[in-house]
Order: sequence, then C-alpha cells, then structure tokens
Amino acid sequence: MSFNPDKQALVHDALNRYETPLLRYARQLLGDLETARDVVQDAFLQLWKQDPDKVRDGLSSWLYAVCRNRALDILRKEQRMTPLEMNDASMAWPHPGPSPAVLAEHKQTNALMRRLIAELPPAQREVMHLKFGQGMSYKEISRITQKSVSNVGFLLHAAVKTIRGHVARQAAAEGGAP
Amino acid sequence: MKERHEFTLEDPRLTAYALGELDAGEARALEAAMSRDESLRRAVAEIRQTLTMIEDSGVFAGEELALTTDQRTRVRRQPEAANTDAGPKRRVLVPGLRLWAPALAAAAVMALAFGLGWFDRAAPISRQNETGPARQVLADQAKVEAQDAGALEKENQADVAAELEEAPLELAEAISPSASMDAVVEPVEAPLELAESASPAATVEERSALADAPAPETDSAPIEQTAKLRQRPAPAAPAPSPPVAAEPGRRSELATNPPAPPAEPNPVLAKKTAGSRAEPVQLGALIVSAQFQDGAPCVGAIIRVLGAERPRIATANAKGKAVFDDLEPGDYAITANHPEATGAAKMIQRLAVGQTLRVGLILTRPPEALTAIAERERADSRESRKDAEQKEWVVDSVESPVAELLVVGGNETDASRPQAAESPQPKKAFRAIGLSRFFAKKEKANGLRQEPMSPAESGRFNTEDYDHIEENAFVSTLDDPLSTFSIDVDTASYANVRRFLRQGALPPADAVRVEEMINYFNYDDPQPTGRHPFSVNVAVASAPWAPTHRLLRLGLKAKSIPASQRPAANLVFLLDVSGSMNAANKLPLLKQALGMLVENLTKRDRVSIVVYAGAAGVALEPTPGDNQQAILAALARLQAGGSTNGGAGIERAYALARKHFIEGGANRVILATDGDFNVGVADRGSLIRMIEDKAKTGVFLTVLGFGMGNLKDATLERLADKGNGAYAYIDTEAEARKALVEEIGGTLFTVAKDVKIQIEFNPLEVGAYRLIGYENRMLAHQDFNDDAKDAGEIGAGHSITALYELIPAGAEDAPKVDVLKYQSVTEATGAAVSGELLTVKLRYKRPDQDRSVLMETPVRDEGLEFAQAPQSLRFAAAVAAFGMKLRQSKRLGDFELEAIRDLAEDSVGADDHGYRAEFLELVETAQRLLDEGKQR
Repeated sequence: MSFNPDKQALVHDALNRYETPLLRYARQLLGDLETARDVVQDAFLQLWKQDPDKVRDGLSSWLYAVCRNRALDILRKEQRMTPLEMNDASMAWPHPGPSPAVLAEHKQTNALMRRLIAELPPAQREVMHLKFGQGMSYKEISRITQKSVSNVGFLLHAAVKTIRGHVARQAAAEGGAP
Repeated sequence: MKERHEFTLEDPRLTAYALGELDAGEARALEAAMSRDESLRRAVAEIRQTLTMIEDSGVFAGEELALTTDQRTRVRRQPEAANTDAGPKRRVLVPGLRLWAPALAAAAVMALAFGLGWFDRAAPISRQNETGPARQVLADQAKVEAQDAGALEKENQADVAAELEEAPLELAEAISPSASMDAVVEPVEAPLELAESASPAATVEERSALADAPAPETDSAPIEQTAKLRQRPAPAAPAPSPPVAAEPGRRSELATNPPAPPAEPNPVLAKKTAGSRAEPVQLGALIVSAQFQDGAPCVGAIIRVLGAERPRIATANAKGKAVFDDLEPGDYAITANHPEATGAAKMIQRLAVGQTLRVGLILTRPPEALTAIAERERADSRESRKDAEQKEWVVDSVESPVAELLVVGGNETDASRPQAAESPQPKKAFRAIGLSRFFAKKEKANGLRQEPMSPAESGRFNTEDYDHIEENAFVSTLDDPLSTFSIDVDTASYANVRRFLRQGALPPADAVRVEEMINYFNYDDPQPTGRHPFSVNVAVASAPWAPTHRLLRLGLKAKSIPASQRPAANLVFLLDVSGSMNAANKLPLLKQALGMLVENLTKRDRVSIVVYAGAAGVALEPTPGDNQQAILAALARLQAGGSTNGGAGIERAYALARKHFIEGGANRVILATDGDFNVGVADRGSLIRMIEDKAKTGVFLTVLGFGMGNLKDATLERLADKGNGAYAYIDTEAEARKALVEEIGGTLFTVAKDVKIQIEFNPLEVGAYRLIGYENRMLAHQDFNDDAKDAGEIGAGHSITALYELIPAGAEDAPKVDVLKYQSVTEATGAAVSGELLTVKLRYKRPDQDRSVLMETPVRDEGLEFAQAPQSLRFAAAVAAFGMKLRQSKRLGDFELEAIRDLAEDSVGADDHGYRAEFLELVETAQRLLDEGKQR
C-alpha cells in the first residue's frame, strides 16, 4: 500500500476550500451541526477513495452531491418524512421572532428576510442556499440537486417572488403608518 | 431549439436574467421586450432589488463552521482502505447517484483513521509562554516561524508535508501490522489519562458537573442521542469491508465527543510513538458563561475562542454556557456575541497545560429589549434546550481541577463596534487597547491575525469587516522617547470613506484609517536628489486644533520613474469571479479598470489572468502587453459565478508569476476581489503566510478591493501588507484611473521595501507626542534595527506623510509622570541642549536587497505659526483632522468640520486632478450629515 501524494494534495486542498461551505450546506439540510460534521467528514473520507484525476474537475459538485445524498439518506433513515421542514432553526439563528423596537430599521428588514427564507418550501430554500450562500450557478445547482436547470430557475424565481411579495406588502403596511 | 421570445411577468427567466444566468440570446430578447414593455422593466427592477436585499441581509453569509479537530485529523490522514481496496476506485460515485455503496467501507476507514487521530495531538507544540517577557517570546516565535517558512520554501511544500504525514502512518503499521480494528481503535481520541479514567457515562456527568452543576436534563439526553445515532442502520449496499469492523468505527465516529471507551489503552503504543515525535501534550479547557447585565443567561450567544490554530465556536446553552477543551497552552481571546446585546470579550493569558478556567462574560442589552426578549425566550426555550444538549458535547476532556478565573481586561470590550455612535468611555478604551494589542502580538507570533469580532458577527447584519482601531494616545517623552512605526502607502480607507459619505452615511469609525486618508493625496515634496530612493521632508508648525501644540509633518517622496524608463512588468491578474462579484460596481468596474491599465503596457510587459471561483483557472496565458486585443478579449469573457476559493487561485497566480519572472522587472500579482474568501480563518492564516513567503521570492502583491456590503477590509489590508504591496479600494472609474493609470508607477514599481521610521524626541523640547494614524503599523523599538521585520513598501512616485502632534516640554497639559523611586530620570546628553526637537531615523531596503540602509535627519522647530507652514503640512493637517473627526476623536476638542473645511480650502493648491476639491465636498457632505443627525 503506497502513499499517494497526489491524493493527499487533493484531499487537503478540498478540505481547505470546501470544509466551511460544505458544513453550511449540510447543516442547512440536516438542521444540526454535529450530524452535518459527520456527513462532511464522510464525504472527505470518501474522497480518499477516488481517483484524483477523475474527480478533480468536478470536485465541488462531487463533494456537494455526496454530502447531499448522505444527508438525505440520514434524514430518510431517521424517518423524518418532511425532513427539510423540521430545520427552520438551522437557517435562522437567532430564531425568527418579533424584532424589539430598539432594533434599527434595517435590522428589521434583515430579520424579516431571515423569517421569509426560513418559511420557504424546503426545495426552494435549498436552491436559495446554493445560489446565495454558496454562489453557485444554475448549472452547478442542477448538477448537485439532480434537478433540471429550468427547474432550478423556477424554484429560485418562485422563492424570489414570494419574498418580493412579502417585502412589498410590508412596505405598503409601513407606508400607512406614521 | 425553440426560442420563446414572449415574456410574461411570471417568467422564471426574469429572475435568471437578474442573476446573470440567462444566455446571451435570451438576454437580448428579454432586453428588447423590456424596452417595449414598462411592466416588464419594473418587474426586473423589483427582482433586482429583492436580490440585493437578500444578499445584503446576510442570511446566507453563514458562520465559519468547521469540523472538530479530531474529524479534521481523521480526514487529513490517508485511510488505509483507500489503497488496499481496488473496488471503490472503480466505483466512482457519480454526483447525484443515489448509490451509497461504500458507506460501510467509509466506516471502516474511519475506524482506522480514528485510531490514528491522536498523532496529531502529539504534534510538537513549543510555546514558551511561561518564560521571559511576553514580547521577547513572541518575537522568538516569529523568528522560528520565519526560519521554518524559509526552509519550506526551498522544497516542494507538498513533499515535505507528505513526509511528515507519512511517518506516523508507518509507525502505526509497524506496531499493528495486521491493522485489525481492535488494535487500532481505542488508544486515542482523548489523552491517555482521560481514556483510562472513566466510562462514557461517567465522563458525561463529570463534564456536566464542571460546566454547570445542576443540569439534570442534560445529563442523560446526550447519551440518548448517541444511542440513537448508533442505531442508525447501515445502508444495505455491498461493502468492501467487514461490517463487524465497521460498527465500532461508526460509533466512535458519531459519538465524536465523548472520549472513546477505554477498552484496552495501549500505553506502549502511545508512549513509543509520542516519544518519537514530541512530548505528549495535556491540553487546557475553558468554561465560558455568558450573561446579560441583569444576570440572565445569554442563551444562544455565539462564543468564540480565538488564538487557537482554528477559532473555536460554540453556541451558549440554556444556561448561557459553553465549554471548550483541547486548547493548547497559550493566550486566548474569548468573545461573545448576541444579536440583542453589545458584544463582550476577555483575554486569557497563558492558559496553562492541563488547566481549566472559568470565564464570565457580561453582555449589555438595551433595557427596552428585555421584555421582548423574555417573551421570545419563553417561546424558544424548548428549542434552546435541545440546542444546549447538543452543545454540551463540545466538551471532551476536562482533566484538572477547575481553577478560578484569571483574566486580563474588563467585563466588556467595544473592540468590535465600528458603528459606536458615542465617544468611547475611558475605561472601555483602555480595554479595547488591550485587545487590539493582544491581537497585534498574536499576529506577530503567528504570522497571522485572526479577526477579533467582526461587525458581521456582533451585529450579524452587515458583513463588512473592519478591525478595531484605537487612536494613539499621547506618550510622555520621559516614559518613552522613541516612536517606531512602519510606513503605510495604502489609500483604500479614503475611497471607502468617500463611498459611505456619498451614500449619505457617516462611515463606521473603524473604517477610517487616518494615515490612509492623508496618504491618498500627493504632496509637493521634492524629488530625491541623492543616492536614496526618496526624499525626507520635515516641517513643524502649531497645530490648528490645539494652538499650543506643535504639529510635525514628515513627508517622504519616492522618486518617479518616467514611463520610458520603467522596468518591464510581469503582471498576473488574479480575479475573483465568484457570485458575489456579480454587481455593477464589482466585476464590470474591474474589467474597465484593468482595461485602462492594459492600455499603458508595452511589448516588454507580460499579462496573465487567473480567475478563481468554484475552481481556479487560467483565463489568459502570459501575453505580451502590446497584444491588447487578446488581453481585452480575455477580460471581456469573464463572468461572475461560483463560490470563492481564493487560496487555490492565489497559488496558481504566484506559480505563473514565478514561471515568467522578469529579472529586474516588476513581478506582481494583482488581486482584485471583494475579499470574501471561502477559506477558514486558519486557512486565511496559511494564505497570509504563503503570501509572505512569495514576497520573499520577489513576486509582490497588489490588492484591489471592490464592492460594498461584503468587503473584508481587514483581510485585504493584511494580505497587501504581508505581500509587500499596496491595497487600494476601487469604487468608481475615477478611482480606477487614479490607482491604475496616474499612479501606476507606485502601484507596480517598488523603489524601497521594509521602510521603517523611528523618531527620537528630545525630552528637553518635547513633553509628549502622539502619532496620528498608523495605529496598526506600530513597531516595537527593537524591530527598527531588525532587518527580519517586515514593514511597508514605497512605490515609484509615492508620497507618504506622517503627522505627530507634540506637546512642548513644560507645557501645562503635558502628561505628568511620578518621580521614580528606584532610578533617576535619565540625564540629558550634550545633544539635548542643542535645541534640536527630534531626530528622524529611517531604514529601508532596496527592492532586491536584504540589508537595510539607515538615514538620519535632526529636526529643529523654527517656531512657525500654522498659517506660515508649508501647504503640504496645512493640507495634511486638514485631512488628518477630518479623519479624526470621523473617528470621533477627543483630540480635536471643539474644532468643528467647518474649521476643517476652511483649512482644506486654504491649502488646496494646484490640485491637478481635482482630488482636493473632492475632499472639500466630502467635508461638506459630512457636515450636512452631522447636522441632519443632530436635528433628528
């Protein structure tokens, strides 16, 4: 059994680059950091077993997909039938709630945003996370989630539309107030 | 391919368009449709606005999450199964494929890797915290690190690392060649003593008792949780490893935190191996409890322990507590943040081996918030408890009796409140100084600097990031006649301040670095005539805001290099094209800016472009500077998308710069980014170290900051500082022109590096002095003569100005110093009665040399009134005063913006490019904003 420096470079590099984003993603899916860590650790350990030349190009997609499958696997195993809906807390620490009056206006907007996003359907929230949290393109999101590019586009559009509607209503309501 | 050119208001392509995801054809079609249809235009505008709100909200900004130390260790080791089994190699997991075949194999691998985990624990940790004055120790450490870095540089880093990592693996094999699970699994995870001590359950209780004595609910819950996870059925896919072996591995991996049950600790293995690498290290622990000022536990506060190799983060549990263990001996800063309260921080100095400390932090929240919060807490208490149970698992070893708190500093620190509206109270200011010094020391010792608490964290709403700056105070000349600092040619702060003011907001105080504001401007100092690459110019006059004080201006002017004589340039643009750059004031402006730069290049120059986002890649192979078409075409092709991975890109860029190195030329990586690197903080440290190393090879770094709302100002300044380069903030086309066309010489061609200034004040003439700005550039006095100490660089044509405010000796407001009991005040030398005010000493190195040259200039005070002073001093004074005003400095007394405006107006001078006129406008804008603020 030989030591493979190439592989080590790949894994170490991957760890440096993707540890935090993968954890954020996995936690978003799973709702708890400890399990997210297990999943991400698994993914990196899996990476040791891959042929570096084969995974290098699509490395990020590969890692995200492995994490995603693993996370869904766990959620399924734990029989959380509507898994992603149970994790609103993960997206929204601190827990969304009424902002104290002392908080500045922009903070209110942000709290509102936090709540709106937490209330989105799971599939929409996931693509939102990949788009805004991870800065991925439609194509990358499509590769990871196994959804078509146009489906990704639709989900994002629907999410943005929901938020837009809420914000507009909020603004209208506040406009009426003194 | 069918093309639908009809667009409804509900079309998902509108969102795709706003996100830059629509292909060119459809985008054109949509634009055409928009030009005809106003409602479509409005819809797109609204979508854009919503996207901006989503991005600005920081909801997705996320925390710096990290694996546990053990998990990282496991992941970094090559698991044996990775090579022994040929099967999985062929069974490459296709992304998205729901096949989870090698899960059991993974478990086996983990069991193995797990067994090897502790080698990392035994890694050499040679902090010498117990001995000697802290500063010296830290300096020594820095030296050691520098040497290490040097050694690494000579060889391929990966090889060295591989060698180091391979060693323990071989050892383990030698001891248990069969690599059977039983033999390898148990020894480690926790230090040996602990592993021997207790069953998991007992340890849990012990821990809870330590963290918080009455914790009935949390005692059993974690165990249940473990059990639950343990029962998780393994996927029924074919597995290359025996399931028997996989099961224990799986368990230990899931129950990461409780120490592994001590089946049969193997002391022989432990000692032998430990001895072969380093002494085993017992680690310390911290029990942090966060409270609000009314004594209520600060549930959910984010607690960070900074100073370790990686920052450690935990959420305070239902009792406001969090426990951190496995901390190496050394200094730590502990911060607590809560969205409703002012952050708090404390420093722990010299956490000793095996020591456990309790640390209390008090967070202040506004009283009005209390009721609302209390209500919410009731609602959330169930969740919080669940959360707390998990967080309790942060503990995995507390080895020694709990010693009571040993802290320096007070209960709260304002170190991270850039937007603090009120002027800091003296007490707080003192504490904040402590913190910033603490970090400055850390930085020297580690070659990296971890952010204390960013505004993003304390406020959680704005992700711009500034380091706290504490204004330099007056120092009595009797206390310390020397003032030593590194020059700073950065100008980013001024442009950033301008951005804030133009948007109708006063900038956060910590975004204002006074020296960068002063140095934004050129002053009419003469070109150097002698052998030195810059001229040194000194003037002294009365200070406009305190007429009894004297104001010293020290101006350096670097020689300009005419375009015809400038050396050839080998430029590697390293461009951030991640999703966050997808805004009009980022990537498009960047393209425009580089286009301007390229126009002035010639055939001798080389340009390459490396981009980084999801993956780093070369967008333009080295191309002669006169082949502008190719360069501009490559720029035009750039598109934003993907997440940021700065590390890989930087490495690629430096490699390219090195490969096409031009001897005697300007070899430079130009990093353009909004700075939101997706590398952990620890990796940011290694990034900075790498840049420092590369700077030694003659490839320097220039950093161009773009955008807003996400700007990691502190990181960028530090990168440029370590990379022997300048940091400019580019917010407009005009600013791009200034940095990349008008001052291209200074941006690209360094005439002197490691420029340090030391001023010795004559105590007979100067009672006290205060350096204005340069707060994060202060150096220890002994570093002045130490050529190994990095300092600032001067580029061709650069102007650098430093201002000191001096209180004459014997003046009433000079700080009084008690007569010393054990020594007499040093006697004045003959030179002191010469009437000289001070002596300026300056050290610099030529760009290609490692030995410094010393320059010395004695200075006399000719007694000038401010009005008689040279224009350069008068304008610099105006800019400094403006900077101080924006920082709410108390030093200005009642010197108001109006007076500052008048000062500036009187000293505008020729103002070729209109920069000074613009400054006048900014002062007026600030005046207006302040007035509006007062009226409200």
